[in-house]
Amino acid sequence: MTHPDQRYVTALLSNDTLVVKEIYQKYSGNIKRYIVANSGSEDDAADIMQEALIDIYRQASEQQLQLTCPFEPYLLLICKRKWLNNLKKSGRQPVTKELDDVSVGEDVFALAEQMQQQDHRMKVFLECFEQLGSSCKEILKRCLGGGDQESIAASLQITYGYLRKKKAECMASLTKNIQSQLSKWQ
Amino acid sequence: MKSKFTIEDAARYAEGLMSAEEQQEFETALTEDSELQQQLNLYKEVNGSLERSFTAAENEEQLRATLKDMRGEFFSNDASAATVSKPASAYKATVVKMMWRKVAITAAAAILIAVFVWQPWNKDPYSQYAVNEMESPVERGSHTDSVLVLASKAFNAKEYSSAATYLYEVVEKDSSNSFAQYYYGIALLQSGATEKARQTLITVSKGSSAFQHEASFYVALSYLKEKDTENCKKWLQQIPATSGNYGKAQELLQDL
Repeated sequence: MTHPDQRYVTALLSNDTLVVKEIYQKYSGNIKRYIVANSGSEDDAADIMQEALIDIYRQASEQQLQLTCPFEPYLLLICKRKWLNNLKKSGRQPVTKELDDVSVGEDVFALAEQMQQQDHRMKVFLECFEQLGSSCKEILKRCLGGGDQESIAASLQITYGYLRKKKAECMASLTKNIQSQLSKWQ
Repeated sequence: MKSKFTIEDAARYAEGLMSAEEQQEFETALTEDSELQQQLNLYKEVNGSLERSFTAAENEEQLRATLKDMRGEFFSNDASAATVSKPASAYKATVVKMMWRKVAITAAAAILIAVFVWQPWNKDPYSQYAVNEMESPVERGSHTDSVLVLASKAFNAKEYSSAATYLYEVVEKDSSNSFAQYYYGIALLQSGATEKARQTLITVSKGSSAFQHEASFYVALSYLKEKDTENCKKWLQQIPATSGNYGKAQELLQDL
């Protein structure tokens, strides 16, 4: 079941300024408190919140994120993980261990875990895409980028029929590479 | 049952490039060929994910602009905050910074002295050769993979005993995972459990995995660690010229 807070996710997708503002009104305070209490500045908090919202946006647009838990703990969990990562990278230690906070429910962790796995899968897709030859990359980028296929064919100076055939070929070799990449660690 | 259809055919099917006749034949084959089903599903998944990703990039820019506005509204700018509302803490920060500088200079001097005393360029041969990084698996979602990711993080952070603990979890469940076995052996070796490390590595070296000869090299190093030159040489000599470690092995043999 999708949580009513899904409307926040939808707002990120549609860049609905009013609801995005509501997100900041409601949740920026807690994020600020957490990061400042963990040797960060307000600027850090602003960075982290922004990156976390972009992450959620990507999960929504690429993986069709469906919230199965409330929005706030999910956003907070992502922010906390990001901040802990930052601290670790700079060799600093977190002051408090709020991540063990009992108030974060199982469902929040489960969703985060699920999205993380999908993020990894997406990463493999994009890495394999980058390894394609330049003409395949160009064709796929344009065909999958939402343009009208006939005008794409015209601008590439090839026939529509050839474009469709070429797209299928490029996608086949991409899928093949992805398949072998994914099975490596099975 | 495996049909004659390939992933290229699945692509043509998904793109609607088959004749009606061929399409029907494909659909019949699909019901019996689970591998083909998987390929077609993956094809659709990749197609959909990339489509969403490519079209989302543009909207992301617009969202970023909105977020930037909000940032200005809901977060104060640190630079002005430090001078206007919190002069005391700004002063404190300068003092702390100066203290840090002192600490840094002292530390740098200490490191310089330590380097001269320790002389890393005359490193003992064991640590000279025992450098290794553990590759991180591409996460696929199974529990084992997540554990391996944790293991590789610990390993590459040189936290060998915790890496060994993670790897043990994998190895215990699946003793045929030679990737895990191999790094488990090295992690044990690095954390000082030489005897156990050697047993693990010998097992890998007797197998036929990609890590077979690499493992032999580390068995040799485990003897080197105990200054048992005889056994070390014996293991180094077993490494064939085709192995990636052959060069290192020959070099070490000469050193000995």
